[in-house]
Amino acid sequence: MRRTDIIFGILIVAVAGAFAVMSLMMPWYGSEWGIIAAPGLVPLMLSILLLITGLILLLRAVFSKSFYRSLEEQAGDEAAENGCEKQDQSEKLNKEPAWKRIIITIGLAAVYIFILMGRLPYMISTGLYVAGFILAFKGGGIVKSLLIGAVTAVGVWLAFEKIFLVVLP
Amino acid sequence: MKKGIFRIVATLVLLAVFASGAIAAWKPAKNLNVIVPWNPGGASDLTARMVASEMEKPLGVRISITNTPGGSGAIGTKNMFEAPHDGYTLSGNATNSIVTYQAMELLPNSHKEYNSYLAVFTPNVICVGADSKIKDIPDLLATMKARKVTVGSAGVGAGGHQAAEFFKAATGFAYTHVPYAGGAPAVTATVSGEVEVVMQLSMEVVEMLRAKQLRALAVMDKEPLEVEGYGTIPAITKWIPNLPTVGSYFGLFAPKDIPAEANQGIIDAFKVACNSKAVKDFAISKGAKPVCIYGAEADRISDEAASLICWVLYDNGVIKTSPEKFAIPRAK
Amino acid sequence: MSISAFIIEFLKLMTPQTVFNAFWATGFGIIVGMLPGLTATMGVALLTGLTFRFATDQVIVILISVYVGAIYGGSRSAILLNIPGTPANAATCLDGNPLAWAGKAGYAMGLATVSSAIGTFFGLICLAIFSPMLGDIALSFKSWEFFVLAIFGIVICGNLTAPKDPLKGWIAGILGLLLSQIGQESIQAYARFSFGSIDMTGGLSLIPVLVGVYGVSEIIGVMKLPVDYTVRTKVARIIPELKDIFRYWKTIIRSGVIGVIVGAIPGVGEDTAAWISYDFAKRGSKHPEEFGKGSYEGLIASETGNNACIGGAIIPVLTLAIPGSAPAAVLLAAMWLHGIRPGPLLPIEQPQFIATVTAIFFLATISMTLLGLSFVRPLVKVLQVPRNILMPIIFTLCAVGSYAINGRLFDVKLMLLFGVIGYFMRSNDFPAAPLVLGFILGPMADENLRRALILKNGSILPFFTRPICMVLWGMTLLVIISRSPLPGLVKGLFKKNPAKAA
Repeated sequence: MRRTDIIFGILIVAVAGAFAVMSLMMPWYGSEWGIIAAPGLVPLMLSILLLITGLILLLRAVFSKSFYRSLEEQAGDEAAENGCEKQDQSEKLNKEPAWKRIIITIGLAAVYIFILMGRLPYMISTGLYVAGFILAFKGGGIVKSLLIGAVTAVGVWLAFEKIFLVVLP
Repeated sequence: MKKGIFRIVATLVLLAVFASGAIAAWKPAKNLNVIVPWNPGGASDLTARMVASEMEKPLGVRISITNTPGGSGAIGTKNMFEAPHDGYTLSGNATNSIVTYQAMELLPNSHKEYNSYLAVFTPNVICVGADSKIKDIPDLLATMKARKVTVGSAGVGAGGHQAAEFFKAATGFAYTHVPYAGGAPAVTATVSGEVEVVMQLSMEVVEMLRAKQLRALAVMDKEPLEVEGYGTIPAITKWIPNLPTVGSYFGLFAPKDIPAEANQGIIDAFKVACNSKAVKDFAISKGAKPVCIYGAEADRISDEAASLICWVLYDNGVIKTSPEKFAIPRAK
Repeated sequence: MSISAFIIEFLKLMTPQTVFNAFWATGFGIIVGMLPGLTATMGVALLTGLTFRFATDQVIVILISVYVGAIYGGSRSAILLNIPGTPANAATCLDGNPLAWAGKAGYAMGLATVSSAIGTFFGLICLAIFSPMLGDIALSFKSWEFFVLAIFGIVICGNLTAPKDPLKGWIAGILGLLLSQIGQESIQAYARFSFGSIDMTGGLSLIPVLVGVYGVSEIIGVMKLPVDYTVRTKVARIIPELKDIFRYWKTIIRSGVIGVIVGAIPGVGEDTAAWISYDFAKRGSKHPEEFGKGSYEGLIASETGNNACIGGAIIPVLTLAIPGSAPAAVLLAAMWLHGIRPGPLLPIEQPQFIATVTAIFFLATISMTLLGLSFVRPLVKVLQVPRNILMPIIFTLCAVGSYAINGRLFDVKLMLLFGVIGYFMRSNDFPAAPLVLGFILGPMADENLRRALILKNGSILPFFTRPICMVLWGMTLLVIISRSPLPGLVKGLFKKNPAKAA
């Protein structure tokens, strides 16, 4: 938690800084109302707030050992209370690294949205995505995956294009 | 002699074939889609819905309406241009909006790239809250002479703001412009007393007028406007004779380069819609005038609107680049 | 409006055609609400188009039924999948989903149904009796009040976050506020942070962000677990035990009142109503630590609040022709299209219309309750579907939902981006709720602050002297003080001393 908090702290400070700089580059005096209606006013205030809170997070992560110790104690207490079955099971059967699954999930989605959607007719791109997903996570063989993919794609298409009258990509 | 007759008959037959081909009604193969780049309930949305519903029968297909608000209507309009230019994707908007997109650098498309099918003309009406101390135009002029009055609008560069700029140009009185996110909030703010004056379209104020929440001071037109359920709104020219008519045409738009037969098919269905009782009643009930303008005349209206509006906005610092760059000449 | 007028109007509705329309429209609304990304606003807009040629009285029945159905329907996906079907149900996820994991999905759905019904009923009573008074609220909220209300809403974020680490909640909230500033702002039409792209000029829409942060991140999180984890749910009892409802009667009334008032405020809708109800319920509860872990009270607060808001939102529509929320705005447009003229003249021109609307509400509540309670068992089966198959289907629905609202592919890409951001945030204890709430309230805060300054030439005095503003500041301060270290420090001082003294 401490390490990720440091990373997050840095990221947040960077984002806040970027927004603050961009806000300052907006026109401040050009309009008929002057500075009170400047488009950068509220973003600047918010960026500064975000910068401050991000810094607090970062400094706390770097310097405050006691905070993280008390967090771990609390987490320990909670786990004892709830019996946290989910985590136990996942620790035991942790054959595949979790990271791989996350990347595959995001990757498949990215391929669907950025590559397939819009270029192929909706039913084909959606069918491919669903089938690909099921195959990748070994939810079924090729036939089953394609079948479910097809049913999903056609079902959604029918519902949205014909009944809801919504144009699909 | 026989050869001659044969030639005449052949020509007549050929002519008949061509003619029937030309005026054969365009039968769309799938549903049409009208993108309204504004929130539901606004003037563009209501007009588009009414007209589209009357066009369904002559065209023989359903017409679905999609609301894609944002960017003063530029985003939805962009979607229309990005769809295939086959006549199946239209947009529901107003002339006064589409002529500003290029000059305000929201879209690269000039107003000359649209085919307009205009169904309704709605003039701007100068209104104040029902319990305002300003009773009529002379009162308003006197108040504006003494101090800056707050005028609400649907946003910078939008209809109500354009009207206020025209008013300022004709009278010389400055005002405090208070922008809102659309016509409806601007009208509501006048009703609640947050702003003193609003110069939005008649379609947007008519319900509030009938409900006695607003008082109409004048219509920005040469003739008075009859609003059933409210009364007659006097013409602004009674007090300010040199103010041009300020109003907006609402209707459907399509990219200019759609196939000619699609264009004709749309025009035919459009004419049916405009002449329908539903659309006419709708226009009149909203304090607007039903019209049926398309083709060259609509293009002329676009050009005129562009000249008037873009230059007024540029002269008052709303548009930063001179409209000359977009080949929009000053109005005479 | 008298009871007899209500009864007469209700009896008039008892025709086969009307009842049929109410039922299918409510059912359609529930489905629209359930699908992530499809909102009540969209449902009402879709049916406005489809029913264009229907008789006016049927149209009103259909549209109100869809509205009620959709706001309730979102609770189903919130409970079963931890994905709110509409923004109004985001608060329902917090307690609804833990209940589902604890094997009580059926009961949770029954509770949500009954709470929604009670909320809708409360809303319609307020509509019937307090219409004129509540309608005036709509006009007394001006730019200053909206700004302070936005601040109040944002400060609540601190309370809604994981009690372990409020700082992260604040960060999420401020980030949400900041990101909502992207796009063309409504004061000067200046495109902020747009990097020259017209899509960015339109800003980041709420639905893709909501679906991404809740839906896609949930999908990623579920796929991360190595074991196909299905919950053994015994659907023993769906209809909640009366004692569970009566125990929380205070919460129900409180959430109902909050829902109606928030609804009556123009532009603030069911999503904000649910959060404020949830927050106040947690604050007033005897067991606040249970909130977020499967508290019945939390679930009741959220669903009662968002449904009561419907009644509240329709009040200004009828009395002033000003919509109280986004779906109410579409309802108003539909009324105009069909020649109904809501507004102050309504009691004079069509005096029985308010009674008619109240009766329609009642009919919609009944159909919602019946449909809701009957379709619990089949839906709970959804939890049994292996997630390798369920997740891509849900993702597909999320993608369609994000696309359908505005018709831009950009929104779907945004959804994925926020899905990834949301996943990393949530797995590091940054709560999603304040991010979404910041998104909703950001534009409101920004516009109204600057417009209020324009109206009074830069003076900030009215923010502190206007009566409603003062009330809202007071409530905000109360929230801040209760969350700050102050009470803790004070208590700490007293704790140390007894040890010394002894």
